[in-house]
Amino acid sequence: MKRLAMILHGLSDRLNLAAEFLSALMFLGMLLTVLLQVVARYIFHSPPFWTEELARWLMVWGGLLGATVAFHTRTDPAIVNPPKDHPGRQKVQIVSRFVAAWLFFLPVIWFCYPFVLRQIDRPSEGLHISTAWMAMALPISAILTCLHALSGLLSLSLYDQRSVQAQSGQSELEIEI
Amino acid sequence: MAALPIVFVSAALLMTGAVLAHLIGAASIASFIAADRARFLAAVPQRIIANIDLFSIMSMPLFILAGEVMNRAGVTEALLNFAMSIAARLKGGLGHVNVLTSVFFAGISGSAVADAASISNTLVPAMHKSGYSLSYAGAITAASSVIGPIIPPSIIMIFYCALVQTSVTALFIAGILPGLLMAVVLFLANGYLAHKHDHPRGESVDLPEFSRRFVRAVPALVIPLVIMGGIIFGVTTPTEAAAVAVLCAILAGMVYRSMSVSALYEALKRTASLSGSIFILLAAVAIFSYLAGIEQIPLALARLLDSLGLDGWKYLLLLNGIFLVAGMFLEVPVALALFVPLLVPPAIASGADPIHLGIVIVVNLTLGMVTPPFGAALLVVSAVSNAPYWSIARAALPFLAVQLVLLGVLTFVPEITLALPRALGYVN
Amino acid sequence: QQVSLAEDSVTDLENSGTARWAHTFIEALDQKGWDTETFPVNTIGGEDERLDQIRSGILDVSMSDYQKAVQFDPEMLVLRLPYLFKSQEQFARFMTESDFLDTANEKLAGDDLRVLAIVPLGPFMAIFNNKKEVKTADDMKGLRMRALDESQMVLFKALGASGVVIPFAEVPNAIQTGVADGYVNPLGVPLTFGQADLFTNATDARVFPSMRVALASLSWWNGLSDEEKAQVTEAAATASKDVLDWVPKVHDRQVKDLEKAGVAVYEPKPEELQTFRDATAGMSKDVANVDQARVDEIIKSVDGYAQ
Ligand code: NA
Ligand code: NA
Repeated sequence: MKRLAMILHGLSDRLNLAAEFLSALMFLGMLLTVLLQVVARYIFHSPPFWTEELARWLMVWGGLLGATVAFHTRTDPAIVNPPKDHPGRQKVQIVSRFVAAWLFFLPVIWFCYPFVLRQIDRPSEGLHISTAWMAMALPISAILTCLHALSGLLSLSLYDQRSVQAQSGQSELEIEI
Repeated sequence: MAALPIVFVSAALLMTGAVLAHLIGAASIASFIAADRARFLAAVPQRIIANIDLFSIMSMPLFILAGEVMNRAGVTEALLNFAMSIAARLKGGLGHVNVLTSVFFAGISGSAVADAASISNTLVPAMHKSGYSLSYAGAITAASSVIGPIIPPSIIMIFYCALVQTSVTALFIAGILPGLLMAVVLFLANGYLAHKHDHPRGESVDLPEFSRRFVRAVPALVIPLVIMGGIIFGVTTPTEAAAVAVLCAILAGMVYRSMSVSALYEALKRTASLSGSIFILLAAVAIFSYLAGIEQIPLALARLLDSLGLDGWKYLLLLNGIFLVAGMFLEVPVALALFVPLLVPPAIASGADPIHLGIVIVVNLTLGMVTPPFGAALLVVSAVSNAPYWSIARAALPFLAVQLVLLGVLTFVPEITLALPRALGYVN
Repeated sequence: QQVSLAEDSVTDLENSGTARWAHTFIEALDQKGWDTETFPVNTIGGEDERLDQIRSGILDVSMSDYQKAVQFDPEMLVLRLPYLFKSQEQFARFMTESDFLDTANEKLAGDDLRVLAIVPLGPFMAIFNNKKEVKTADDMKGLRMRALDESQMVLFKALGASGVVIPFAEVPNAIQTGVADGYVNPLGVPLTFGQADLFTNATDARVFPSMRVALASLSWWNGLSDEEKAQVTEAAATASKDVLDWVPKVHDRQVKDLEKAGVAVYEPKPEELQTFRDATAGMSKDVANVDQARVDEIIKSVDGYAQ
């Protein structure tokens, strides 16, 4: 159990670094694509038909990956944020974040399977590639968030917060005891 | 009956700090089952993708990126110095400078909090040193920071448009005049208070010289011109304008020698996580709106309001109250996500203009940020400038008073908001 | 039995054929004792989402974009060839008498779809713009037209204009800012959606019928008893007849309403119409993803219903 929690924690941190890098890359790609669209329209007078769609795809992927980063670094909005100097309530929050995330994402993941399947034979209007490639961003983001939430929950049961923080890359995790 | 456990569990998770978006999503999904509509859940993933794969929100991540780059590019300092060279000589000059800087800032960035934080860092200490009380300096900083999201570009407006499915371009253009009027009432209030409390005027010796400051500010001033010009004259879509703004901000940062690859990467990472938390909120709202659409909740709500006699101006007044309070307690995207899908469709159905409503709601939410006891802008200014929260809140009251008067005028005289978009043909 | 239907238009029964069809269809089933539910436009999603909900059996019937069905059966594109139908009467006869829909439904079954009816939105397509009076195909040169999809891009190219794909929601902005100069739509669309002030000129070029489709979920259809299927078929036939009878009556009034709203509507003379026909004639030799033999077969079948 202890081992599993540690492995999961390491995995969660590593996947988060990857998601953060990819998400940043997607938004950089989006910026360049839109700039290309402007240049093509006003300098070469030929708006490419695929730039808008490519920019949207990059945005959806970047945003859904970014959502997992926001969850991992705890920067997504909650209405109540327990005070930093109250470890008990911080622990309760970790449980609460786990419960809400799983209640939301489990049904989403469940219904994503047939949803992605339905998209496979549907070509997109601009790029003519299967829209399943975009649809897949949702289950991946949902699974990643569930994984982060589970990792937080398991870590709770085994370590005091200080050691969790020392072992993790979650420097922005605002738990200090 | 089945709704009771949903409400109970949601409230418990809410109070213990769960992510709000996840809560909205989970509660909506549970409500589908409670309402015996479980078969509609199969459409949930598709509703989510459709609600974030939108033409109208494409400009949002890019405007967030533009703001993030600008914060790291030394643009704020150039704008501040330029505002100094224009207005510092007047009586109460640094107060005017504070407002004017927020106007310049507003033309590039959409965030009130970013404005409040960076001006608290720079101008508030300067004002304090030249004889203003710390609380007055903090108060005018917080009060003027609300101009940021009213003058385009504005993240709040893009979010509103995504929720209401209306034109970002039209709403952006509609925000220009109200934003400038907000600056005017603050200039007037600051001028009046400057005479009343005998605030200092800048001495000519320590004032920057206009022409040099202007030249240095040019790269920064070009950005709002590019954004607004591009959008107003239909040269670019809001998304394209945002991309060009990012490019300009990067170039300006190179001119000011404060841009680096690692700064750009940091800005991109911030963009990713900020956009991400807004996207997941949109995802959750998608499910809620789907539920509301199937159960035809806005229609029922409209009938209820009608039967209560809450039509026309009475409903607008009620909306003002709700969004002002929401702006005090909640983060702006959260307040929008919670209340817009429920409260705006009935208003539009009863003849309100979605663009006018958008401006009224944005002004309400931003004024909530400077309204004690919880105003977010007040909190930020207090934290950054080290002035006691309540003394800033008290000093901000006169500004809040004139801003609320302006809000009333904007609410009940839609022509002020709609004149410009109408003249340019964006609103009928 | 239950039926849920999603509308694709505001309930403007005077100007929108698809709103009329949905209204009549649901009313007919209602009278037969069905448990009916109608979702107003946009309450449960846009075109793609409604299609997905039909395919997954969540929704029973959706009024949809014709192009959505074309995706699954390319042959349906043939009916959109310019000037394939010479008259409204020919179109009505083809829709009620030919076996075209049955053939199409055999192909759509693999994608969990069934077309209940092809529904005209109004009279044949007119050309709107805010630049000049268009009398012949030659006048189209230099116009930048808003295209609904790629098949319209092909049309504009054939007419010597250029096209740019713009979603319907962005049309007012695009026209006002000059990103596009006009579009093709039935006469009633600018009236229904308050877009008449965007345009100075309309040409009643009658390019092709304005078609929407009533798409049903196949799993819903297969779950019906034979008697229920007969009731649905009858309700669809009643609704189609109502719309087909209504279309010819509405033309002159819509022209007047447009003129009143400041749009000059031009009725091309026969020789002027011929220029449009000539310019687009080549399109029947290159229908995307359909065998030429099959294209010719459908054209011949349609011609058989001319007077
Ligand atoms: Na300020
Ligand atoms: Na702004």
